[in-house]
Amino acid sequence: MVSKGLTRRALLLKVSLGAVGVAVASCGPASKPEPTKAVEEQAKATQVAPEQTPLAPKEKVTVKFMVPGSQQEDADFKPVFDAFAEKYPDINGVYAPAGTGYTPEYDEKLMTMLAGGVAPDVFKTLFGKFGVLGAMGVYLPLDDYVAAYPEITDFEDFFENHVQGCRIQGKLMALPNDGAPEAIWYNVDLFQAEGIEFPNWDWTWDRMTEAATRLTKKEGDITVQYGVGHPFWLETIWSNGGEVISEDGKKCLLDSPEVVEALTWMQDLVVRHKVSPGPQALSELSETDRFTTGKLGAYYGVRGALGTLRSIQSFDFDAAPMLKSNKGKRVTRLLIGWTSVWKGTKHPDEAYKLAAWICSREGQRLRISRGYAHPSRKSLVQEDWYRNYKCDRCHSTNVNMVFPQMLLNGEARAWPPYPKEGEILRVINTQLDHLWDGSKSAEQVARDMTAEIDQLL
Amino acid sequence: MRSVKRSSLRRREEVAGWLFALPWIVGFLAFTAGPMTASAVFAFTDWNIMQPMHWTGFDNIKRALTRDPLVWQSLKVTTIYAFVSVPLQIVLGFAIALLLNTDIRGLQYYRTVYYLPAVLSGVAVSLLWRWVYAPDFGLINSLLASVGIRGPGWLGDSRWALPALIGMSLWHVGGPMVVYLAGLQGVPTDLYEAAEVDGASWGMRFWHITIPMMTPVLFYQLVTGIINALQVFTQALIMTDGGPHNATLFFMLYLYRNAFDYFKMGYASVLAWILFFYILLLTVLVVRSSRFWVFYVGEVRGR
Repeated sequence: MVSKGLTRRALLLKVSLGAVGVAVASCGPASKPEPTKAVEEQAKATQVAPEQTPLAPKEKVTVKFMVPGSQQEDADFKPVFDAFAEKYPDINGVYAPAGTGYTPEYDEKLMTMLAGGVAPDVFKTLFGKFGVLGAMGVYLPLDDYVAAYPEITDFEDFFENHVQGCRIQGKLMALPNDGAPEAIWYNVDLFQAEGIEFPNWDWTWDRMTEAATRLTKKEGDITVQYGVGHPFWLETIWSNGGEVISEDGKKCLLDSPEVVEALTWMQDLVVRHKVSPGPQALSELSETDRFTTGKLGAYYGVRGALGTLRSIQSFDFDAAPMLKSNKGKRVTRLLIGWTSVWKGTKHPDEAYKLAAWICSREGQRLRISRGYAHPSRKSLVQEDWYRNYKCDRCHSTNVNMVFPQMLLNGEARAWPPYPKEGEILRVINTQLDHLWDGSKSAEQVARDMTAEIDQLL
Repeated sequence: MRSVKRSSLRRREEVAGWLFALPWIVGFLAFTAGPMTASAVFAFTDWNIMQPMHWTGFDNIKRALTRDPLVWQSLKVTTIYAFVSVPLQIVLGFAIALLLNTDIRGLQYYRTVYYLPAVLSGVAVSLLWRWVYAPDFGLINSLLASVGIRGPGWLGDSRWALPALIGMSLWHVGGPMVVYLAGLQGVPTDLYEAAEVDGASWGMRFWHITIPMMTPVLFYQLVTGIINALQVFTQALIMTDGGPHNATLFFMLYLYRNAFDYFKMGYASVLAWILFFYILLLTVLVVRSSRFWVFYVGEVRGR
């Protein structure tokens, strides 16, 4: 008897064929990225002569800009986009926050959109991803646009340190819409109570260790107040003359004596002197929370920290320059707001105009004068609204001055973009766990980091 | 004649079986089969989402199995977690179900209270437990301090971070507890009555009636518990980010990092398949072992 119904074998066959069909369909765009190619050609054409874009009346084009987004960030960008609409009535500039905040979900969302060919025309890249996305060819090189639109770009006005941080292998892959070097935030009341002079341009690591020792307070076994937060490894290493990776990008240099010395100072703060919170203490309360509740004498941060600190009501605080190493050198890490144009945008000229506007003097003034970030333009840090910014408990205008001064002194450096920077940073952070809990010596940590990173390079 | 009837009945049962399974099959084909097949292909490539993929043969597999110590570290962490937390969850969930299967005042209230944590979001629970485990002012260490014990650093201590996450997993026993409760209420009371008439003690009734009658439920909980435990992710991401020094680097977290931090989709696909086969292996072992300890009503052994 021959069954006319669906046999199990037939069903399984159909199911398998269906699965293969779905798989093939889902693999298609990834294995054959034709749209990207087309856009590449379009972008190439635009790069050659962006000024040749026809000036004839055209439809109003829409270009989108994505940042992580938050209530504060959304409000800060609103006047920027209102003014853009007035300045460029033929372009519909859309502020499209990801709604993720500054979390890894932002990178996920951005990557998903890039992979799906629906990325925003202009977007911000977060720390640790600029080199990675650059290596993937996501960004539209902007050098030709800078040359084509000198008035709206005003390129010479950017801090040179910011511009350098936006280049990948010599090509400009972003414009900086803000960006600050790190400095020291300190609790004025705690320093005064201990009779310690305020940190200044001459302070070294040893001077801070001494002050932090006096600021640290214990009740029984529990440390209720720490002197200073963790120094960030990169600027500590740079300040001591160390480097992370060789210029040709082929060798890790973290096992040098300069790096070991820097790591030893960092470890001593936590393990030997116990004046910085260790990993266990930080699992309870972050450094920012400790500082804002008056339980931490000083910590490291960018000017953007003012967004949180300006709500402090219970004590005065101020900003001081990054410490010098005991060798007398100061290098601080520069964090940049990379604003890039997606290589796949259908409207590269309009997208560039939006990016340039966001990073322009007026665009930055509209946003930053509302809040706390640090401009990437030399002219802006000379303006009254920036120089005289004052919050309730800001002790002085140092909160505005020390950051640009370090830039003007040439003491700020951006983390160079590496194609595998995500993995490199992960190796370093995992090894630093050993440093902070004392389970390895600084020398061993340096050796192990170097060995692991060399494998990645 | 009898043979034709039996055949017709069997066919009807088969069709009914497929119909019951149909929603799952449709969901699987629509949402899972495609990505699974695609990931099997990606596993042999260096695909990074943005650039065209290149065929790399068995490189990803070789690297995962022979040159990447973090694969073995994350498998070790995940296995320890599963092998400790699943039995603890089963024992605790079963014990609570036994307590709540009695005739006490406010029973509905207790059942709700024990089940409530199971419906809370993983992120919120993770943040809550960060405070429970806070070294100086957290709930657990405060309790320990009240009896003169200085508690460990929990999440910031590489020796205690994994035990802390295992302890936290017991927060979710409310879910299994409801299933045990349903199972307990399905045990025929005439079995207990007959045993009582024969003079069996509480312990004997529990051991010879309750446990055997509950083995299908325990079997189900064991299989799903192992599968869930091997896929732990949220707690590790939010509470420890895999640290300190990889002490809580769960396999799913490592897979996620490769996919979305490093954008190594090919390598992440290999990791996904390793996890799939590991879960499959453990599940098959449990299923094969079930013939020795799982009993079904009406089943006659040895036939």
